[in-house]
Amino acid sequence: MHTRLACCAMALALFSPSQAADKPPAWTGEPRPLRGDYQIYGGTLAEMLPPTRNDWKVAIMVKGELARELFAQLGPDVKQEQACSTSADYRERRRGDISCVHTKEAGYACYFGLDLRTGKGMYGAIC
Amino acid sequence: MLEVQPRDKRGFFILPQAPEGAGYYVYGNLQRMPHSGHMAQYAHPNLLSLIFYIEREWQAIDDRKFGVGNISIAEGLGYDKHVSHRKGLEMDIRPMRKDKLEGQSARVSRFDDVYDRNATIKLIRLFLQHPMVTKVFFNDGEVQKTIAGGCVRSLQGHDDHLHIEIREY
Repeated sequence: MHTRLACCAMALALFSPSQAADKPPAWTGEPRPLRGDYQIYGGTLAEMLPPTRNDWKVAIMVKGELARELFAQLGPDVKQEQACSTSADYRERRRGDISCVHTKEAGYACYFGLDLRTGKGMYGAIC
Repeated sequence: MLEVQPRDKRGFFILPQAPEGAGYYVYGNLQRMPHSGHMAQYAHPNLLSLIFYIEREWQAIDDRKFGVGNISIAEGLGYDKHVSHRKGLEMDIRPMRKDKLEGQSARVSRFDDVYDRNATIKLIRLFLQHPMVTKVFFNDGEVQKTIAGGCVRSLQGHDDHLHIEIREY
């Protein structure tokens, strides 16, 4: 009996830290800094023009921890035929105007945008 | 002395910038810098072959040129809110216009009067007939209906360009 208990205790001691590392950090509600960039433009993302008073949009990209968390929340991956790329290491997830991608080389990145004319959200990336 | 063609570390060359008599023209820019479109046109050799094949076929059926935009930048880095366009295997193509306007100012979306749906369908069919082409995104539902089989799909932001992807091998 004591041996069994000792084995269980040892297993918990060995596996708990590794499992904890996979879990997202405990929720604290603390604001955290962002990593990423933004692009202000008029026209479309594919055919950008200088922004004007009536045509002012911003496309925002976030990277790092926030992108990883958004990617996890958005799941599952879009089907390969609907994804922007069929590269083996390319994963993409979308919902509404948010899209997130992961590649081995670039890590996680998420994109969304704002249209200041309407004040509404919009997509922030194209294929 | 002849100018040496730029080549990136992947060994990719820039798409020839609208040589005389070509069936395509080039457009686009990088981070909104004027005259920088060529810097976003590093193409995988297979994509170059496809463009040269299609422009030849296109010239046999239409005397207008089609516009080739973003492909990839040197070393395959990310740019301008493209989530793909890193391997030189994807390119943006403008829909066809009813007039013969070319160059940077010849932008056109599927909502414009000058948009030529029939010519765009002909051009997409040429691409789809080629075995290397794996994916076409363009948001015109009429085009999607005419070219049956779900070969052309909709995706946000694809009203003013076709996104075309080819297989690597």
